[in-house]
Amino acid sequence: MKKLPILAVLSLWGALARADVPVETRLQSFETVWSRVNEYYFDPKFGGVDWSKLKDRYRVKVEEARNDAEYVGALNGLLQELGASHFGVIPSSAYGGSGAGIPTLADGEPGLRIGLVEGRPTVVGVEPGSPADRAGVKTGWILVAVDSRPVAPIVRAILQDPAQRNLIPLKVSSALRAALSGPVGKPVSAMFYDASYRTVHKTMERVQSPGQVVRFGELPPIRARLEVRRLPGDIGYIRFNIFMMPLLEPIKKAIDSFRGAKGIILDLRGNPGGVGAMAIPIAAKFLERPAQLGTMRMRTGQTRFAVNPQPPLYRGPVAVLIDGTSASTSEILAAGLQELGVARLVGERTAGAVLPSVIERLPCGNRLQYAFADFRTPKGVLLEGRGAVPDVSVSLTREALLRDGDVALDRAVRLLLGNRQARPGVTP
Amino acid sequence: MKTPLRKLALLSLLLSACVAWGQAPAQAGITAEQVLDKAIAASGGKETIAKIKTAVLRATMEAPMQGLKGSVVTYVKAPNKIRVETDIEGIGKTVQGFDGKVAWSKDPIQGLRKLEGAEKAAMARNSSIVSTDWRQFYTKATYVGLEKFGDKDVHVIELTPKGAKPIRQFFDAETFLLLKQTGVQEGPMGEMPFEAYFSDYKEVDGLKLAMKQVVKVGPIEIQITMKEIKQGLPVDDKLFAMPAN
Repeated sequence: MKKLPILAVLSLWGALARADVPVETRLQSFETVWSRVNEYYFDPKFGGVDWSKLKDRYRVKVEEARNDAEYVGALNGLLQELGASHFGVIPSSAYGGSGAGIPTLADGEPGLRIGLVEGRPTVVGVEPGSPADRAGVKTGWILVAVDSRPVAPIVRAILQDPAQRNLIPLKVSSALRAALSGPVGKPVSAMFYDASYRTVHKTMERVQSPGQVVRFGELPPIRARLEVRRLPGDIGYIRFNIFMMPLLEPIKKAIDSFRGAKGIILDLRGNPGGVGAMAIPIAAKFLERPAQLGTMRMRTGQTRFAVNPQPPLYRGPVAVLIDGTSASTSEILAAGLQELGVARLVGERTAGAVLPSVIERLPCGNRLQYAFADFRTPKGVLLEGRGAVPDVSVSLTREALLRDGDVALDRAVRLLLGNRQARPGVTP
Repeated sequence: MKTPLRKLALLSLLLSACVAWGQAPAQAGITAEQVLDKAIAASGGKETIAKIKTAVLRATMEAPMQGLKGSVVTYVKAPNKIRVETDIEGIGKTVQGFDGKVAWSKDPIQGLRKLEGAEKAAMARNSSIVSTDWRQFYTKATYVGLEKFGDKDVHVIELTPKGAKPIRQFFDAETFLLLKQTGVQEGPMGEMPFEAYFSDYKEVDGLKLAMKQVVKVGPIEIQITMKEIKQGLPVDDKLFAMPAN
């Protein structure tokens, strides 16, 4: 069975909100966590970490944990010693409960995307027609507080964490999304600095996010959504928030619908990944010859992401929008299309969280996500910790967001309209 | 006959009967050929196997650790036709077939494609589960030795398929039923080592069949549980032909 890279962001989730797990069950779960990594971590030398030695140290921490939060903290502490993405414990409350600080299906959101711009939590996107849009929130505003709680400490804690610095944009975006989320119908009040640094208070309804509920194995249920539209200049625009199989056919149909368009933009910003193999059939809509998106290497054996063209093909120019919140499968697809000469990447460097992983249920009811392979691009570049590098770098600034809105998208459109020639190796 | 269940793209041949002729020198008082002959006899015997003209096998599949579930339906028609439909929640349906000449696969990731090389050879081997003439698929069978498998003694046989890497089969030294198989799955996506375990043997229409199979590929463990086996049903040849799209 092929297995799939899943969500980098899941490894960021931590706390628990259930009755305390008995010590015996905690220790069973600890043993599972340690053993899975011991058996399947793709690097038999564990990146220089003495995995056997860590077992004794963290077992004591699990035994001595005074509550479930400390217990999960100990498990995550052990996993973080590896310094790699896609390792973490997902609390059981993410699967339908609430209170763990993680948006669940029961939660609603005001329709904002917050990113780290020039070191500050800034509105980088407002969903058209959302409560945030109706409240008049603008891109470029700085988020100061949510329900009277300042967000600066959240951001500061992430910035000061020495582990996995490449994941800072993803962590900030996820943490602030969680802060803004809550029960559907319960309003959230937020304080911003507007264009003139004046304090603005907005109360926004929390509504259910659009999209269909998808489930895949032990992954928490997720709303998957696809946005397809034709931009001025006859450019096809496709954006989806996650790589889940129910979206595959609609994405392929969207690509087919843009066959005569002057270009296609795949917007992978904010997309944390999902089913890794799904990058293959999407790439297959753009490739004229069999190729590979890359290779994942396990402790024993390796799997190539072999792509065979799946007509009808789109042969025009392609741009992929990326940023620090594009992770995992998003990076596999973006980097692969870039190296194969299919697409140019526009935006900011991706998260560099590209390790194929699985999610298992632990005896304590929480889930363990662990990576079992690394991933290299067609040219052999290890994406973990590095990410996909844009061809056209568009670093967001507050000024540009305030003035122009979606700067990266505008740049991608201009790129495609000014670059009509055929792609390398493709017959126009 | 063993169950020829075929799962996702990277898992294929592991579940076929895989009995071959032996040519290795005798060790532990028995040759590879003798073990394989006894294995056929243990499965029901050549005559019983030769009577099978068609079979439809229905099973559930589950990767319990990862919370994945699905189903597998296999159609077999003598002498060499097979179609395997695998449907997994959250992934979709994969169909693979061999009509005696053309091997093919259709899945949500790779689409429809004709199988060649090692993949085609594996499908051909799987298709012949109602055959006892395994020489056409293997070039060599070697007796490796007597080993322990749990508390049981097992005869270990190494079989070398034509144009593919060897597999190892582990037969119960008392019953000569297949308990384990190891090897490397080969295909355009690379090489993946696998282990397959067979248990819960039951007699169905004179054949001893493993009702439970566990396949391990990396961290993924797939459990396949046989639910229904029917022989002699009419099976249309069209089922095995490569579809147009």
